[in-house]
Amino acid sequence: MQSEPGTGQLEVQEAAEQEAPTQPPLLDVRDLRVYYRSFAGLGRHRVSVRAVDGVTLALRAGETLGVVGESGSGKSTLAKSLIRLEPVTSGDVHLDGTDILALSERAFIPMRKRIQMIFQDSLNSLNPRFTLADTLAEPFIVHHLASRGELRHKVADLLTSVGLSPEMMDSRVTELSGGQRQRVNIARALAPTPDIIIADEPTSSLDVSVQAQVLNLMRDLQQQLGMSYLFISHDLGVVRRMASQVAVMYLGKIVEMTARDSIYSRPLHPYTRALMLAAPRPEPRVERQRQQAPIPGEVPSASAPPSGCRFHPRCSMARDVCAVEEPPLRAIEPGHWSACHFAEELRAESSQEVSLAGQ
Amino acid sequence: MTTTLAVQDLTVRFRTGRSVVHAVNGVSFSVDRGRTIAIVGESGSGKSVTCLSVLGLLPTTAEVRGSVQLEGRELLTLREAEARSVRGREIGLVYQDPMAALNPVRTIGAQVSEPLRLHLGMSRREAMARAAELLDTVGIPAAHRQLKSFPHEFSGGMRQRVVIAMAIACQPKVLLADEPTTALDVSIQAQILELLKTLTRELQLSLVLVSHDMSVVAGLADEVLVMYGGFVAEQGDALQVFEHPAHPYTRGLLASIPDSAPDPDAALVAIPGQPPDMRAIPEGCVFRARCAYAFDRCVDRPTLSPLDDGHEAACWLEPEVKVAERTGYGTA
Repeated sequence: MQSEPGTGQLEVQEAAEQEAPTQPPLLDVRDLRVYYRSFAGLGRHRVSVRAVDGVTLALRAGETLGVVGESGSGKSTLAKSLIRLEPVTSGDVHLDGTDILALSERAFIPMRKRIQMIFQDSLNSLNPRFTLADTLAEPFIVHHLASRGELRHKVADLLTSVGLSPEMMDSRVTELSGGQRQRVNIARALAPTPDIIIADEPTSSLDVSVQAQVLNLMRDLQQQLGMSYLFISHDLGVVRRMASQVAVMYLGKIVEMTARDSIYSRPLHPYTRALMLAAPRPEPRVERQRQQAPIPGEVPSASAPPSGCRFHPRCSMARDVCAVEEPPLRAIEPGHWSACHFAEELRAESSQEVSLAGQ
Repeated sequence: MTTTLAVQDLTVRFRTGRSVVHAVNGVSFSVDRGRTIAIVGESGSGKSVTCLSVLGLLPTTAEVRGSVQLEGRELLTLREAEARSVRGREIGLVYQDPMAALNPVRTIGAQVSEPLRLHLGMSRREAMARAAELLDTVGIPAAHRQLKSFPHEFSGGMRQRVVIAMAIACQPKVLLADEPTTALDVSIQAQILELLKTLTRELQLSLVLVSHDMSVVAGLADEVLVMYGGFVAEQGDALQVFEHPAHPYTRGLLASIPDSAPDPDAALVAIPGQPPDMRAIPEGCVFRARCAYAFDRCVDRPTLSPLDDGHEAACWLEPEVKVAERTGYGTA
């Protein structure tokens, strides 16, 4: 079961254009699809895994778009496909008006320095044999951004900008703590002065106290340098601190997208609501009252997504229509899109009871 | 209430080359039947080594002192064969990575029935029947049909349920759960926490829940023990520790949770610096270098001192400063 790919998208695009007609988005993603072929049961039959299935989003200059989702939501595949680390099945990705998916590998190289990436695993994304100086000089060399003589000076500046001492330049990345390594990854991403940094769960493997340091650093750097972030996380609390716009993904699709404050004060998709309720909070009196986990069951396989609305088997609001008809992502109110048949009902009853923000 | 597990002044050191790692320094706690204690700390805090000591799973190079008693019986001096009969039978273990806890080439049924055959001497048929019941108890649908499945056919959440089924198979007195939900999605985490809560209540287990995340333990813990750099920073009744955190580290840990601030645009409260290098623990208070409240007295190492009913913190601050609301953490 699959709905017409066009229907929901059009509305989204129209609404997006109405909202901000003057400023074209820096990164404009339309109906992006990434499908994998995979073999099930020892190669007996082929299945197609729809990791990203028709994602449309826009990232404006200086803004942070938070992408929230659990495993299997397609958020990491989305990130990688935007910098062509994953082959895209269909769709367009425009960076400043240039269709970057249409470029040859060679023509894409100069674009690559404009979009940088920070990964979750701070250790595996760094070469353990490299010193910090080697690691941070590399982008300057690759993109011909500095002469040999300037390198150490550039590296020292980068280290300072992420709160590390230039004296650490000759240490190896393996000598650093997790938080320090993630600072190095941020520094490396900053090296070619990108317009966009895609951060895929950048703090998920850090301790809570160190996570706060890294998030503050990313916010400070954005204020100083003005780049955009595509900030990917499973943690709604983290995204709330980082993003101005939030997109929630479930099984390869965006199910809700809007400005940060509206998503936290009145979520208009049952999945977003449940996800907020599922996250534990450091309040024993509240947590002890919990009776039931807010989202039952498991995330279904992306190779055999449920019919109709993909969330319907786990949704507390699901009705007959949900198993049959896939709800398009549509504007429920200006700037607030939801892919739920009953989003208007949620809006009517909404406001007070569910909120991370309303305390 | 009867005390099931009592740990007294546990100290664990590792010698590595020329340096000595002081992994755990004088940790004491006890858990009663049907109660839950949470051990909270970040990497290097000593929380996992504390668990391994209880299970008798420390490497032979470890120097262990103190006492770990299970219903009055000393565990630290047990021989390996005796320790093995305690593990799995009297103390169940659930840890972070369920895939690593399961054998990928053996069926779920074989693995869940193994402790039953090994420790309780059940026949294969009895053990399999019981395994199906256990899988049902932990919320695996159509449990009977799943006995012949392999771990890779299960999702992460379902695998963790299988591990929990194995851990409770022999009706242990203590269940030790080390970061049981860290590898899971938020929606599945909520389910597993719910399951642990139900099992603790219904089976009257003593649960030792280890986590780096205060939020995760909030709903389950009756008592909380906060560790930092191998020392207990604070311990006491969960409501006391959460609502009146006394140690600056506990306050920092709570304040740095991204959800906890009313204004999302304000900077997050971060604890500056890095956790200490366990090979070279600083003199005095281990948290001193990162503490917003450190003063001259902190060059001496503070010991746990009582605040009120069973609530203790290892900090030299005056009691009235200690019991200030948690929002009072130095945001400078």
